[in-house]
Amino acid sequence: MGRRPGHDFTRSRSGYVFLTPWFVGVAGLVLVPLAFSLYLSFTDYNLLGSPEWVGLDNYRQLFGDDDRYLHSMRLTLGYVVVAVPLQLAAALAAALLLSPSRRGQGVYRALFYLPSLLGASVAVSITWRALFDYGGGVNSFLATFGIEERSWVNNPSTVLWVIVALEIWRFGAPMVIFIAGLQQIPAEVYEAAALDGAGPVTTFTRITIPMLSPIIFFNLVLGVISAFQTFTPAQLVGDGRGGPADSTLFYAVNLYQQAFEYQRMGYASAIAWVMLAVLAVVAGLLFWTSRRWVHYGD
Amino acid sequence: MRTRLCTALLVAALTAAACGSAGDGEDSGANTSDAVTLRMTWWGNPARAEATQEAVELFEERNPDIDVEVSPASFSGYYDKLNTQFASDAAPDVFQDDQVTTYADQGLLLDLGEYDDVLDTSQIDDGFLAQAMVDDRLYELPAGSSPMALVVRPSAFDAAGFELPTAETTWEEFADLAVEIQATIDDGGWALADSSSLPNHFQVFLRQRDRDWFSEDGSSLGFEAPDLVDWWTYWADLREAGAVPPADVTVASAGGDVTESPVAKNQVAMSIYGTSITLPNDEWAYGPLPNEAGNPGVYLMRSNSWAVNAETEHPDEAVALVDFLVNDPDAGEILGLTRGVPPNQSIAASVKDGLDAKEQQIVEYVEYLSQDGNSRPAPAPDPAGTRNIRSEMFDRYSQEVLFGQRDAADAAEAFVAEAQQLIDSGH
Repeated sequence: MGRRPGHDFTRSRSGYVFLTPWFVGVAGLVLVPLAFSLYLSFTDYNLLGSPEWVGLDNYRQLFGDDDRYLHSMRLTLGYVVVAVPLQLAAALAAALLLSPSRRGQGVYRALFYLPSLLGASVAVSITWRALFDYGGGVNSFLATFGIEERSWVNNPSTVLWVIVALEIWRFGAPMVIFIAGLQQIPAEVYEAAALDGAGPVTTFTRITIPMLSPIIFFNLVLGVISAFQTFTPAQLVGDGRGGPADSTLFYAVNLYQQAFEYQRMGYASAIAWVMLAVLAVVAGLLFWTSRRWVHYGD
Repeated sequence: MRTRLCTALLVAALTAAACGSAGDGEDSGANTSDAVTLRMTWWGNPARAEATQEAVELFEERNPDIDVEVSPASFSGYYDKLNTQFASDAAPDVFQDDQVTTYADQGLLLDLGEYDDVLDTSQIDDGFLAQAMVDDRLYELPAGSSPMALVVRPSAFDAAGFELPTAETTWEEFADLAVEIQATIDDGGWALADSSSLPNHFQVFLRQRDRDWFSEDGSSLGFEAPDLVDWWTYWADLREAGAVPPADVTVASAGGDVTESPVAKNQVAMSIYGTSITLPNDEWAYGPLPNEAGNPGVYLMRSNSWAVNAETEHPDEAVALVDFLVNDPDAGEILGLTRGVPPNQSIAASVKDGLDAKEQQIVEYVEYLSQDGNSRPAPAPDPAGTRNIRSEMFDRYSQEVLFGQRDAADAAEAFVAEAQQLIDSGH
């Protein structure tokens, strides 16, 4: 018995030694920068000088004296509320089509999944911008219906919808998860419903949706978190500075602008920490409502 | 158990060594030879990058013990990267800059005046040097000039028999001319490019009124909201008349992307234009801006300057590189007008013969401006930390007016307030 603790200790010690590179990475690349940015959020730091402690001034300015910040918050919230449900609906629709096993189904699943691998990339965003600009494919297509050519991306009233369209087009990742979820629903439940005379609509709303609700919830939480952090499409489909006329000033774009264009690293850090708090609250709300509509079965 | 622990330690040690060696390798490579390594960066188009690289190669040939690592960059993101490099003590030794006060204020620039044994400024006009000085110290060396000009496509005038505008043409007459020309232009083309969101163009307009972007002591803006309202209204009227492109065409070149400008795309007959920017083809001619006679607003603006990092380990070599780029006749010939007309007068004169017709026009225009009464001295460099007023803020408010989201008077008031706030925060 006396040897057991020592034995365990040696075993776990070599385990820890193996963990060292990972631990160094987490500490150096995540924990320390995280703590540093929390510290910076209470300072005035322009990157060239040294940080000056200003207490809560940054946070006070955010909510009291920065219309652009509040604008970016509203814009991002609106985007999340519109884009995420649309993307999930598209993903679910595609999943319903692609879930039954048919010949060549794998090819279609792969094809529909592909955009979500590429969607967040720089290249696709640039292509997307070109598609919706003067001389782009979208204008040529609309011209066949006699619609006059215009720049959808250089116009503050349409550019946001171009970004929403890009987000919807990337429905592949939630779609794959939906397909997996749909295949978990036992066939006998559907058979029983069919015997009771349930039509397709009733089957969908009374069986598919409730049985799938944990998966919907999972996709919703992930979608909301990633939509809040939208940066690449906004930066590249928009003009890269939140424009035209602040119409693509997403939360993360504003953060980047304050940090690197205005060199207000302290202020930008405060913006980042408020985002964390907002995400925590939103996720908490989603979990709270989930008790009412998510059914985990027995 | 002991062997297992030893293996684990060995693996960890090897991993650490592998990680470490990548970084060490670079250092030892530089240290083993006696060569001095300078790092250098600038922004600009491919033509500028190619010419600069060629000039640097010549410098390396002449100075075999100096090795220059160049990183050509595009303008977007240039300062983001440079500032981050300064924050991590990794900024290049020599870099192109256009905000001398901001960096000098933070003590990041080498005082070039202390290296007058290496750096010759005798051939450079005081008006240029003044644009690179802070508190009477020379922190940078202007790399070229980019005064504003009016570029016109004479063919668009000849066809309909219009006279080219001159320095005597008033802004009103200029607008009327644009509207008349518009009547002769097909769909998809416009008489004039929209300058409403371009800060350097607005500056000429201001200076004609004896105002400027900033007050002389740099503590406030040098104009008031009504000046800006006049400017925005002038262009809004032209837009309404259809003589300048609609907003969604104009904003394509927002933020200074010159490859997207209406001139680069051959969409207009006239445009206000900086002379350091390459014209797309030979159809264009340079001329003076409207209303310049008597009280000109144009000045020999430096396009950008060369700066040396105050923390450089090799100040003499770094300054020598700057001196070479600006004062060496061979370098001057290689660089041509890639940063505008060279500030060194004898080089400007000597490169002229080797230039094509279009470039010769630029040199002639600069010569014309240098004559008495055709331009006025440059203002002092912009106050520290105010770069975003001209680059980002002005563009943002101009766009709100462009798209009709805000009326000019309201936007001008808000712009002046936000700009003043930024000036004040920069001490």
